[in-house]
Amino acid sequence: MSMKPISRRTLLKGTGAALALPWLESMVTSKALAASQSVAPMRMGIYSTVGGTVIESWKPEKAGALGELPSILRPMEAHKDKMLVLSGLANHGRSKNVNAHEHCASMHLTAAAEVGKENGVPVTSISVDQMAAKHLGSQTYLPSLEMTTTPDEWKYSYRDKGEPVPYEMNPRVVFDRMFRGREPMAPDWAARAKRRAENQAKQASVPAEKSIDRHILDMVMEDARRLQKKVGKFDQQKLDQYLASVESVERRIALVEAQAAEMMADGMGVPADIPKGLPANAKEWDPIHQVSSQDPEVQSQVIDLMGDLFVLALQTDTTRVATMAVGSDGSMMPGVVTVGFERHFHTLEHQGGNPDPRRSDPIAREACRQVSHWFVQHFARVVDKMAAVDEGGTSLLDNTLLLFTSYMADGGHHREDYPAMLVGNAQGTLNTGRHIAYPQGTPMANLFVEMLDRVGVKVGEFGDSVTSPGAAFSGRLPDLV
Amino acid sequence: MVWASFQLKPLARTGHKSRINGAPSFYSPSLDSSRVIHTLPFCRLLFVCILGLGCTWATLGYPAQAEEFATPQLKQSAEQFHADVLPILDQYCLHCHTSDAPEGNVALDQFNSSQQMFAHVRTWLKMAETQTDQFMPPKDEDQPSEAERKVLVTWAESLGKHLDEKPPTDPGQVVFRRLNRLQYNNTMRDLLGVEYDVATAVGLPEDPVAFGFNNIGTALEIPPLQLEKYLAAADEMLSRAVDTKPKSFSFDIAKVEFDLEGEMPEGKGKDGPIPPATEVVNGYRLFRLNSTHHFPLTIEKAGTYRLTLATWGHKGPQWVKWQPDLAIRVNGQVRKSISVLSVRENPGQEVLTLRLPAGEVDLSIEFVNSEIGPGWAENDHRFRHLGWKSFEVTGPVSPQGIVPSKEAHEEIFIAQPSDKLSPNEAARQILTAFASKAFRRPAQPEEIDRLLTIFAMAQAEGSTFEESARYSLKAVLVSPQFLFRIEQTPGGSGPQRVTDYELASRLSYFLTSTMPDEELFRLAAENRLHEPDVLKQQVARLLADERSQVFVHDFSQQWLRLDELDHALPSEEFFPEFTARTRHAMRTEVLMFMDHLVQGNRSVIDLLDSDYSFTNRDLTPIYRYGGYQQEFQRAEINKRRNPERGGLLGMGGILAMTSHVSRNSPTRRGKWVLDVLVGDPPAPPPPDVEQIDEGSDKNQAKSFRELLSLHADESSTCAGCHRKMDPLGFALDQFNPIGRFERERQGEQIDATGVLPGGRKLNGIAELKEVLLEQKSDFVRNLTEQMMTYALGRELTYQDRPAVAKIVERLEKNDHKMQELIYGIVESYPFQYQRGADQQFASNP
Repeated sequence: MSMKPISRRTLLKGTGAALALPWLESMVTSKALAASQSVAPMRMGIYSTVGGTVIESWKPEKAGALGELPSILRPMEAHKDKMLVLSGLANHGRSKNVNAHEHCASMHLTAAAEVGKENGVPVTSISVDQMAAKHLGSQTYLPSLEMTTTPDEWKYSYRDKGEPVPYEMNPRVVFDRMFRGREPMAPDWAARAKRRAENQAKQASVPAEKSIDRHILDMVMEDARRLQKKVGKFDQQKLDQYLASVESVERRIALVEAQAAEMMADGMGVPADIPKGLPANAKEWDPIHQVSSQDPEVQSQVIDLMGDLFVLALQTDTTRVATMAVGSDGSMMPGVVTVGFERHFHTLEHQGGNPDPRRSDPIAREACRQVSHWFVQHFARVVDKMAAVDEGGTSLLDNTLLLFTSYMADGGHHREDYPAMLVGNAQGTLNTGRHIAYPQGTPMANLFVEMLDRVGVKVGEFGDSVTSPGAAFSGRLPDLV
Repeated sequence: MVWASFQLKPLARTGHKSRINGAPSFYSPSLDSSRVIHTLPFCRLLFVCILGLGCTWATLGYPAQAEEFATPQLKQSAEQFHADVLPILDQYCLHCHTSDAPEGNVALDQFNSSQQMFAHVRTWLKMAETQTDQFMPPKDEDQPSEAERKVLVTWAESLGKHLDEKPPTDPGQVVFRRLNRLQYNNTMRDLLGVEYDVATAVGLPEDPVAFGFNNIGTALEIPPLQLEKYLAAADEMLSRAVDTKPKSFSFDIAKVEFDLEGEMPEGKGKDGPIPPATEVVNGYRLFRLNSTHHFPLTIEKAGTYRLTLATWGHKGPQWVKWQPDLAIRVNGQVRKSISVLSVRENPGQEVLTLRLPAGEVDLSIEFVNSEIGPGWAENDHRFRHLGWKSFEVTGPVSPQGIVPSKEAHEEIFIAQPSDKLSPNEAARQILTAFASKAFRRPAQPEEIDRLLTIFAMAQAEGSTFEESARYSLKAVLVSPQFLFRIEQTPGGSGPQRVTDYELASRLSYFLTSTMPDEELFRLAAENRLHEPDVLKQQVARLLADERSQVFVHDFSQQWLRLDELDHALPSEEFFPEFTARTRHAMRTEVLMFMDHLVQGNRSVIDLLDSDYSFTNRDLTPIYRYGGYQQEFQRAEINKRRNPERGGLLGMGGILAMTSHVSRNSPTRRGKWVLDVLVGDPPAPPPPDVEQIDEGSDKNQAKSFRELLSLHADESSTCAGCHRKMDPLGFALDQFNPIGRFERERQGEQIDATGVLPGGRKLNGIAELKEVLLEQKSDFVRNLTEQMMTYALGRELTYQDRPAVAKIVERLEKNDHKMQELIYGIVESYPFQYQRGADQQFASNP
């Protein structure tokens, strides 16, 4: 009989609550490491805020190496050598039957040549995240994850035929969705790489037998196929969509089973932190949204919590494509905005958001600057977290192509000179620490082509990259490397 | 390319007497208009060619005489269009209003066939209105003569009339309608008999809105995310409704082996013996030292198990953590740790769930924190005390450890296997009953056979009867037959009545947003529901049932756009009384008013003006009538004292949600009146529109009203719509942003005057109401169309005009009573009929 009391610390370690120590020493050399030695896959993350930016406080004065950062970007000081500010990018698409906000939103990540609504259904083309998900999605439990911090602004992601992708807005639901029947564990990428190298041929054994859940899905698909023979054209389309959806869910159930096996083979993986402030159940979250648009302190907590889930999704390899919509044009910003009397962000955007500072109300413009700065502060926190996740010699940030942008260029719904910044060096495929000033009007679509290229999706063209009135550089962006 | 060749047909075949009716593409304007876009170049081409040839439209448009028309009047309208109307349009309108870049979103070049021309009857009527008001063309363009205007107006109005009077021939395209979020949630509740907001729990996305409503069949997509959520929701609900009768292992702690470990603390008793855990109080065994208990189990099925511990801790002073901590291990690995929260005086249970693998499992529980440490005083508490009576392992259970409802279980499991009934037969009975409810029609034996294959699979895996049946129930809940409302298309070439089961669903989802109840199912089974008396009686029954409140609220919120009230801009900074509570009260007022109209069968005209409304102490100070009680009560309005109140436009909610942060927005208010009440929505502003620059210095001296009129005059693009919206909003300007009535603002008399497009002057809310009441037929027609769109789940087309006209007439004859509207819709042709499989639509406009 051992007489030693068990320390609580040992216990905690066992329960998986021990903290992963921040991984510091290799960060210094990570840039060099990233290109050649990354064992983790490339991820794509998009962090998009409302309200555009205030260009003179966002854009570095000169192109080239980043010197002193403009005020909005200052929260990113610690990551200066890891970021690439891109200016001059624009969207050119035309719109029909929609207002200016919808116009900007449905063009934001699609760079579509024409957007609008027909029969109440949005018309646009596939968005960059969904294009990436189409190719990378089959390798993870969720093909992609879309989240928003408010119920108001999120219509950014679209599948092939302009079919909108709903955004999750309840952190509890996001968490449950990611970890229903799974543990929040990050793969041990180094162990996996080693194991794979040792035994190239031996893949993780996939459970051959189908679970009953998968049989259920097979059965209902069979139902739908039988039904399909009897119905008209429109209903056939509905059933096609149903079939595609069931198939995709079944594939994912199979994937979870296979991934669990692979995780086991790697040695259980690395426990990830469960975000703080997660509500106990989905219902508890309902009142928060009401408050968050009125109270920036609450909104800040919401943005941080969703940001944690954004990192968690990529870290645990739940998905390799994550998009997060941040903020609400309709929110009140007392405390964030400390100048003037107006606190309503949308009003401030209209009064202060002209591409030409001289045509804006100076106080409202300063207010917009404060809000933009506030958003970048929250983004910087996400970047901090990603930089601290070790993936076997490189960081999660090194292995992610991370875009910070906004769905409008400025508060006045303009679509020229968007704020755009790539962070992390995307496994060495970006030469960071610089500001690249592209000619005004260079299509945003070109950036999307470059992004897709870097996650291994060779599209050639995207959105209006070739057809845009501002078409430039043969639909590519030079000088990124 | 079918289209292209068709477009060119009229040109190619002008000389022949060929029929072009066979072309199948025109029959559904609501679904096909996406294609219209592709045809635009051809329209233009056609146009240019013909002009180039110098021919007249009358002979070259298309061979109208070759088409079949439902009535001679319609034929006449079509001929008139080409002979008289088109030349005028061509001269004054068509250089701006073409479909490739329509000014003000109005395209007048849509007449490739009679169907297409008829389908745009709304546009023609709108055009007629602009002619009566002399609102179009813009002043700087060539103006048509009085006679020409008259031709346009007379023709358009007679076309509207002819379409209203034609016999109904097309009940409209019904597509599979996915249950929307509300319908799904209610249906799951009623089907499984469990009160649980499963849509929120799994985060079912909000549905897309089309034509103002979120139940439109064509817009309700089913992307992968949706399906993933349905699967999760099925699990959540079934765990609450099905008791899978899991296996249970119970242990009496007094009889379980344990290891003791630990050291006696320094000081008194250091070298004494470890106190043995032999003391048993009320069945609870007492532990004062760390100890590990082993519970060997043989688990047949891997899964989640529920662990129940009857334990207590000895409550200590509040500055000491007195709660005993337990570490739970599976085969030596710690999997969970819990603190015992119940106290000796009030023993309770700790319940947790744990995943256990199949096979021999060593489940052990360790009391890990017996020692508190040296205290301040010598006799301080040094040990935590754990009292433990029993331990139970039950499973497999749902991962969330939910306890199923007994009533729900019994409702579903109507049969049990016995000596006389094989498990398979029992399952068949259960599934037949359940699937027939879920599919909203009798389930077919072969459907049940297929569900039983799943049941058999689970049985073979060693699941209990209930658990096996549960898998089949899950299959029902993700089947397309459940998730979509599917109506069998009848054969034949003509429209036919829907079956009684389908009618039951249409009725039930319209009036209660859920599946049919027992009585509707029964009447459908007896094939009696369609009998006019029976149907009427059922509508009355559903309206009297409190479930119909869902309909009233859901419809009202969407029609009146009440959701915007939550995001209404007026801020507490400027209007301290406009709190969340006030918003809620304002919303309640509108909904109670609507409830009252339905339940009390009041005139729908009360929505335009009334001498009563509903208030409580949150609203009374703003409205200056009503009582100060907390509960909402009907309050009479003294129209001499409060002429501004009554009707929707006297309600704070409507006025607040159309206001700005600190000021009124005449444009938004005017737009709301046009959109919601009149049913004449203005086009959205062009994307590059300059915003009104309120802040800049040069405008400082002007009032917002002046700024706005400047905006409306600056360019004709803005003026087209603003000249319609703004005067309506100006008339409401005496209401402040939260609906308080005032005559002065910032020391100045409020100017509530405006000029309507036709030149009529308007001053204040009273005169606005007069105008609306004069045009109440527009309002009644619009409300009818809105509710019909909601009831049918599709956009209305010109084919629905006869049905709408009939209901409007019925309302006019019956004092506009609200229930007449509802009965009218249920009895209408599109509500009761559907298209036949072989029906040709191109041939009967």
